[in-house]
Amino acid sequence: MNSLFRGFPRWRRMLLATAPLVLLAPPPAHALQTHAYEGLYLHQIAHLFFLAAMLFFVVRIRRGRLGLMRPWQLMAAGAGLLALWNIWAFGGHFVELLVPENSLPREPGQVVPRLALVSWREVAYFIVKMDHLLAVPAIFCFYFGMRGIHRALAAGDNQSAGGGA
Amino acid sequence: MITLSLLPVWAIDIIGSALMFVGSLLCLRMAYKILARDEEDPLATYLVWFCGALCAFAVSRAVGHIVKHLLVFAGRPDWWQHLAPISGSINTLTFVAIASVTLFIHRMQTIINRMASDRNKIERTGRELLELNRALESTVFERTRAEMALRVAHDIRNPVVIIGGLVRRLAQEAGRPPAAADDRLARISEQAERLEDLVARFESINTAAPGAFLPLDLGALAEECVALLATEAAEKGVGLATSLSPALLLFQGNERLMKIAIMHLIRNSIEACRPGETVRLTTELAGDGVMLRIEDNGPGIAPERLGLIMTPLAEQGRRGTGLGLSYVKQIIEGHQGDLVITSQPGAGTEVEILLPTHLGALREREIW
Repeated sequence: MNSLFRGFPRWRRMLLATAPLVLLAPPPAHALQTHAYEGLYLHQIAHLFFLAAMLFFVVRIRRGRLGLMRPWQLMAAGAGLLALWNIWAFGGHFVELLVPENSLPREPGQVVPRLALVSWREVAYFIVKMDHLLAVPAIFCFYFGMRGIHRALAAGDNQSAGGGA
Repeated sequence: MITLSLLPVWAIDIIGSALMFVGSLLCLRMAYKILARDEEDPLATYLVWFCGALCAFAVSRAVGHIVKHLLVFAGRPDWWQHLAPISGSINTLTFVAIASVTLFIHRMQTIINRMASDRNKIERTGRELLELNRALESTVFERTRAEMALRVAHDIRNPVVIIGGLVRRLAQEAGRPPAAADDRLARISEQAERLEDLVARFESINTAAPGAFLPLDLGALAEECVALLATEAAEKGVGLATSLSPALLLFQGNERLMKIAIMHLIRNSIEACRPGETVRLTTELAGDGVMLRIEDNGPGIAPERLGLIMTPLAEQGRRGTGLGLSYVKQIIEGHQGDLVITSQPGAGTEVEILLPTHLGALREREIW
């Protein structure tokens, strides 16, 4: 043991020798964190990441040679709409939390609930719930963009497809 | 209190989910159609990944929303309480996936730009090589024609001159004009004169106008030749290194012919090297002239072959026509230069082109 601590100052040797005593009175380690509430936060962070990626996509296309080509302009439009959709959905998730359950009364035998317009929150809820108005055009912009790329390639116009000069 | 039915919201949600489902599948199908055209195209590969992630996002979301509505309509909204966290988690994962894939557009663009630039370079190099090869063929053709004409002229000239002279002398000795003396003698004389004209025309072929001689920089020429042959060397795994003089090494020369000669020598060195070996080009001032040295660390040339390699047809059958190095020698000599080849078996070969810097005398030789 002495040879193990040779060269150490006396106080450090004593500290090291007594260190194993802490095992006799262990405090809570908190080694495992409980995952109960971060689901929404994680989802919202994912929305922000998705938003950033779509904006990056738009910027890369618009700043480069691809921005001059019609199919890629459509792709950029799709990405722009998805970026807006992310903002829309991000806000929508918070609005959902703000609207109390009793603002959505359901009469007996009625499948689709009604929305009581008690405050601005309910009005916002009504609007943000229609997020497909952005998401669907975005998907079809991508589709038409890709169809344009395919047609350009079929016509032998590799440059318009974005495949280089 | 004002209440609104959520039916429009639900209708948009259900129809929108279905459209997203269909739209994303159409995108993926289109991406695969693009990929099918060229499976190695980075753009098509990127689009498949992008649409795959887009499809995962749209389908997971659409399925979640539609299942939720179906369960409500089926009177089991409580089941959705159990499924919602799973659906939401998968949805979150697809956000991360599509965002991660999307960010690769930067790399994809870099790859495509690089490929486009390489393709342009290869096309340009190909065009230049084609032009040079045509020029080489034309030069070889002209040279061969001139040599054949000279040989024919040389072999025919003496007998024709003798025949013509004797006929004219016979006619003179007869004391009358050949036409009057003997019709047959006159015809022989006429044919002999035609043959003499023909010999003179053959001899004139070799003194045809040479190509243009202009001031050229030997370093720039060497660099251009290296650029043209870089792909060929890379395909064989042979390195091409240059150590070029920073000074302008000017000489009077024919650019096309000098390119042909230098490229031929570099090609020979590349062919002699094994993968991993290097061909090195050095340019420098050398006395009254400029010098280009092409060294390789290939197997070298056996001493018994070294004396023959610049002799026309001596190397026939080994590789090509056996005319290559002899033409290179002629080109260099046509520029009043020297071509020196030294080699040690196992140690490599060194070729030196020495060219004078002032070539006023060049035009006087009229070799080309």
